[in-house]
Amino acid sequence: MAELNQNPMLTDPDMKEIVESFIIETKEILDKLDVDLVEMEKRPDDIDLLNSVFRHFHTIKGTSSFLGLDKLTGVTHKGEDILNKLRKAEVSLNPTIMDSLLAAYDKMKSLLYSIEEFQNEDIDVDDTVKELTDLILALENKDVKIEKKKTQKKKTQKKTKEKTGVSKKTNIITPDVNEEAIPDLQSDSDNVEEISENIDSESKQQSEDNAVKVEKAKQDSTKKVENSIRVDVERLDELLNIVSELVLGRNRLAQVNSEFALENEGTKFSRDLFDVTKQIDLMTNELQLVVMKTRMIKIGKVFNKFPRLVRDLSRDAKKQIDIVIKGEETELDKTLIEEINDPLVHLVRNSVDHGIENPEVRKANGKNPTGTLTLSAEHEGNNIIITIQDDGKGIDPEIIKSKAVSKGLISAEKAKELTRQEILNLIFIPGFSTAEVVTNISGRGVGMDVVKTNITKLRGIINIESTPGVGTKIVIKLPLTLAIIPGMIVKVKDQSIVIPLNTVIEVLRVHRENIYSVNQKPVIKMRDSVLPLVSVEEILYGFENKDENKIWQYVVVVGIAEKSYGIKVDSLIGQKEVVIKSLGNYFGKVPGIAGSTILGDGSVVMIVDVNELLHKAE
Amino acid sequence: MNLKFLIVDDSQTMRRIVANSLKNLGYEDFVEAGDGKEALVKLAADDKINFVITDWNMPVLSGLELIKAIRSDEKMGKLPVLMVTTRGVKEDIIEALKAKVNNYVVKPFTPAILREKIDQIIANTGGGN
Repeated sequence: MAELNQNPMLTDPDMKEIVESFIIETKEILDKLDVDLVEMEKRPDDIDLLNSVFRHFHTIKGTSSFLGLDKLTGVTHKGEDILNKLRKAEVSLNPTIMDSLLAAYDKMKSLLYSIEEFQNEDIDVDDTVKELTDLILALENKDVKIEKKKTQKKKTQKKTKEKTGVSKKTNIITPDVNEEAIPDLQSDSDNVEEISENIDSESKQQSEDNAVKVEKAKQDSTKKVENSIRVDVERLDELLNIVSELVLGRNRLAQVNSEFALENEGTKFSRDLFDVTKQIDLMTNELQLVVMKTRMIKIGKVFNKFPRLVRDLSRDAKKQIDIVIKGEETELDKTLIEEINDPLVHLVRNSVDHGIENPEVRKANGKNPTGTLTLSAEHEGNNIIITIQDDGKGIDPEIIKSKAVSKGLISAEKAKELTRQEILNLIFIPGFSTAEVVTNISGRGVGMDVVKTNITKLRGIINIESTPGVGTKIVIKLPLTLAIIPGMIVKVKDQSIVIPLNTVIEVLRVHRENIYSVNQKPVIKMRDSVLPLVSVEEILYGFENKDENKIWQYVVVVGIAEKSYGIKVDSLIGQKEVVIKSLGNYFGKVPGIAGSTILGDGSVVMIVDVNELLHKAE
Repeated sequence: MNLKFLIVDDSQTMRRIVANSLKNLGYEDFVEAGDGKEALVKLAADDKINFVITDWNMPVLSGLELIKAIRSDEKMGKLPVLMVTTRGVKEDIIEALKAKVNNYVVKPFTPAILREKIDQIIANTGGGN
């Protein structure tokens, strides 16, 4: 069935290269249009922007027509017609025109998807084409309306139905002008000569000015070279994998070097070994950095979708919202880029839906009727910080508290003891949703708990700050890469384990008299909070060999999202960059273990999954 | 005669389509440029180019400006230029003809139409220079 529907041009082996080029190029253009179209609405007077949007439509129309992609050509052509009217200042941009352009854009996007995936255009475009055609007619009708206004003022005020009646007449006239005049010129090449001769003298004058232009162009142009190439992601993954192995080898070499140096200090060989180790260490670090960089993508790729999203959402919700994007140049690993999109969409939807108030409410509260939603990204050490901030109504801790109690998520007594931050964090509990009404925008069953889980999976931390009446700020902290992490190596009994350093808050030495028991579970007091204590041994092996003689207990305090707890350890070894390796198919997924790594001495150690340990402890 | 083409278009796909059509017609020799400015650089660097096929709507330097620039240059003023255009832009075509483009071809074209246009231009200009 599917084969029958394929466009022969798209499957023609001779056309393969062109079709591929077409798909890549059109995708890139559509990405640009996604941003430019929304930007255009903000800056309708920016002629360069308008021209660039027009050119993008124009290019797609041109190239798709060669591939016999009639539907894509058709829709794009309609969009181009509308843009051309804007360009010629026949009409000015308004939300209706914008909606139609965006509708055309959406259709183009789904057509391209179908072309790429199924080699056909089996998508219904009739409604879109009709919408666009009606708009074009209405816009042309407007011209007529203006002309007629002087004589027939009353007629123009009549209903829309009649408007289209008038416009159909105009439509009959327009093709006469547009389409017949051109083939005339085209079929008869003498015409070309004729016109050329008529304008001969005129262009001579121009030519002098242009001579200067040519010189200038020659001078200041440097040769344009292609400075990027496309690489299969699989190759990059492979490269990263090899570098990871190299990092392990480097660690091993460093270990061997220091062991050797202890025994043979001062010998020439030990000095040479030291030099080589140092050099390899440096180069490995650099290689690791470079490889990580090749996998980095600008977060703009994700951010750029939001102006459109916010525009559509705020129109649906009848709100006025400006979106501000900062730090779109900030780069992070490709895998993270893919994973961060959904949580961000959810958070932005939340802000639009629950955060920012209606213009009337805002005005009544003395705020700018137009709300602002800021999306920003920046680097902080080996992390990227993504912030979603709105100047909406904020979150009232009291409402959160009573909601959580009424839903039975926490007891009334417990609610009283919670700090402000802890109350805000209640929204991350599964089953919590503050929306009075489930709207189309958010509240589709995906709650903040899912957002938190997703962020945690990426070894990230999510934090929420909110002031009622002023706004809400959600901060997400993510590692730059998932493959290589700084880890803290500790010993539990005789087993070394690695705790991801990004989750470590501090390390304490606790006297055994300071370990209390609450509900038969060990806890410690740290400043003014009570921390549960977790025994890795017990969680992983099901029992704990208690050493009754031990007076001092080392505790590594870790935090995941808003929660923190202590891990009991016997000794602290140090910090190291470790490469996360999966346990392999034989073991599959072991609860509480994120993976394994190989240390410098060649030993295999487990990396604990701080989040899962917490769940198991609870 | 030996023709060396300069294909000017901001769309790489479009350049490939034109190049492909030329290949189908038996032409082998062509260079490409992504906009009018780059085209001028290529022209200045390679005097073997004796036929320009250019798109109209391009960033930096448009097809129209490119044609004007070529026509106003002493050395390459007579260079045959074929403009690639789309339907419904009568004003553009008139502009281009004013700027003394030799002929134009409407997208989408077949190799046969392209050959016809090239042949017409060669016949009218007496073979390039």
